[in-house]
Amino acid sequence: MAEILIQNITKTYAGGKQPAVNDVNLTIRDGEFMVLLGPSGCGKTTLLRMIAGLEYTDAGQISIGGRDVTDLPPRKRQIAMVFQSYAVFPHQTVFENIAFGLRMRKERDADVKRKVERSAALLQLEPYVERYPAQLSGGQRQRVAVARAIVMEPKVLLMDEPLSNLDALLRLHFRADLKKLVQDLKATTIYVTHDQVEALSLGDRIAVMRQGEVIQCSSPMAVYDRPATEFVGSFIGNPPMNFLRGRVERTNGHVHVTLHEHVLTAPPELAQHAGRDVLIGIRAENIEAEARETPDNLPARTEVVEPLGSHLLVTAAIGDQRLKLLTRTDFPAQPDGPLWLRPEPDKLRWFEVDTGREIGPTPQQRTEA
Amino acid sequence: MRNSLVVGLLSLVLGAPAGYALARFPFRGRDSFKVLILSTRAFPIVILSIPLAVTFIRWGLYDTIWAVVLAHTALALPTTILVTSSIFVGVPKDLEEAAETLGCTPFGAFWRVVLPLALPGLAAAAIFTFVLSWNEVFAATILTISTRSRTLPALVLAQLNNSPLPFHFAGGFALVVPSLIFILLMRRYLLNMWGRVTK
Repeated sequence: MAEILIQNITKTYAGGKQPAVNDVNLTIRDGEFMVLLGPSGCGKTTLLRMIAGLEYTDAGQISIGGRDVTDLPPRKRQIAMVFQSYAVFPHQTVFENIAFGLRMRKERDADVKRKVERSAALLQLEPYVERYPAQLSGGQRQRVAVARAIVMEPKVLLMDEPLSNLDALLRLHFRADLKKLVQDLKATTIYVTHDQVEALSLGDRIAVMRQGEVIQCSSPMAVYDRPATEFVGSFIGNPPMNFLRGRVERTNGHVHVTLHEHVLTAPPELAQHAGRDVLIGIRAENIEAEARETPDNLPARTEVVEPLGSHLLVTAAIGDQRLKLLTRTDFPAQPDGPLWLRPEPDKLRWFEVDTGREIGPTPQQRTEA
Repeated sequence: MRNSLVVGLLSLVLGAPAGYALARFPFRGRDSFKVLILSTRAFPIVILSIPLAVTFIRWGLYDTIWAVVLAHTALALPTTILVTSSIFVGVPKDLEEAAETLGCTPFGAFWRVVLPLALPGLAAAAIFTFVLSWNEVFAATILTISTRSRTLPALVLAQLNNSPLPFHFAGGFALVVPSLIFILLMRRYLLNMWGRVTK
């Protein structure tokens, strides 16, 4: 059992003006695959390094499996870590690299040999065990780094952007392999990445970080479908979520939002924002486009049409606001031509203009999702 | 001969930890410390030798091996520190951290990972100090009298001054030999290590 409990963790680097990690609270359940996602400099790697014990904390507590490890060195935390640079020891063969941790534990030679061979086999490294890292490709070195971590049978597996140095195709292959490997390992896993596709595809839950704070922590689909802030919506998803400005109005007890002279029905939570602007968030795939005018649709103008193979990515303008939508490839979109948009009503999200926070269900519903 | 070897080792033993500290830990005044280290080289040995001789006589170190060893180590230390620090910078910190997550103490990580990787560079630093000490004759002559404690070059030089000209040349050539052998031996080792470590 290795639940990881992070309480009020704060860290400011010497000479840093803002804290790199600011009062973060996070619980990672036993066996869970948690992804820390955020732009560079958001503190995700710092948080991971504090969990690993490679960085001191300024305040707060970290416990692994009910044991307070805040002040323990890495070797006493029962963790294994995969580094972004792989950190494979160049002066040792692949075999010795994988065996390193077992030898530090003073396991018997026969056990070391058996375990190393098994994990080398898992990562298809058998032909290379006698080689030195300099004789391996980047992808193979990466596999050595993973093998070296999983051979320890750690309770907690920490990974710091392990795929970011691989080329795109290799990354795609290895991502699926990694997911399967970690599922079989049953270790509690924390995975740091700035790649939202990786986060969505790998994580049981995603913690989105920005400026040292966790903004939202929920399942990949929830993060994607119900972003807690405008930032989350624009960081996750390709293309990012569309945001349009509209004004909340109330007539006869009904709340609605006007967007460039068109009226959208709005949920009752928006009532308190009556008379003010809000941001309307909608994903590109949740907007349907029509080539002909129909009563309820929003008239817009096509600006750019980009064929993506499976879809067309259309940039359209409503008044002076722009949004992107995906259409079928046979949609007759013409640059500068008119088109009519029908956003799916239950996929509309509402955000405060000044704070960027979502107006809608309570925060609880959001994190529990 | 032995003097120069001792100097090479001693300055490495003293200099390498300082180099490691300079390479890894961002302490206050690190940059000015680097300059300060170099500043000892600013004093000509000619000026230093006489006060050194006086001090060594007072301490009872005069005319011992240690007199030369200490003086040469002091001279060699700045270069050793700077060279070793750049060697340690070349060993990624990730490797050390990886070793620590795999069960090493910080010293264990240094011993098992950093040191083997830095060894070729450290060997080069040792050669450098050896040659430095070998070439330095002035202080060695001033600080010693007896044949027991003089470095070989200082001794040979003193002897050759009283010899006919052909012996001068022969002696000069002979002096090159130990340096050459030492470097040839180390060089093979260096290339071997580097060929394996780097791509």
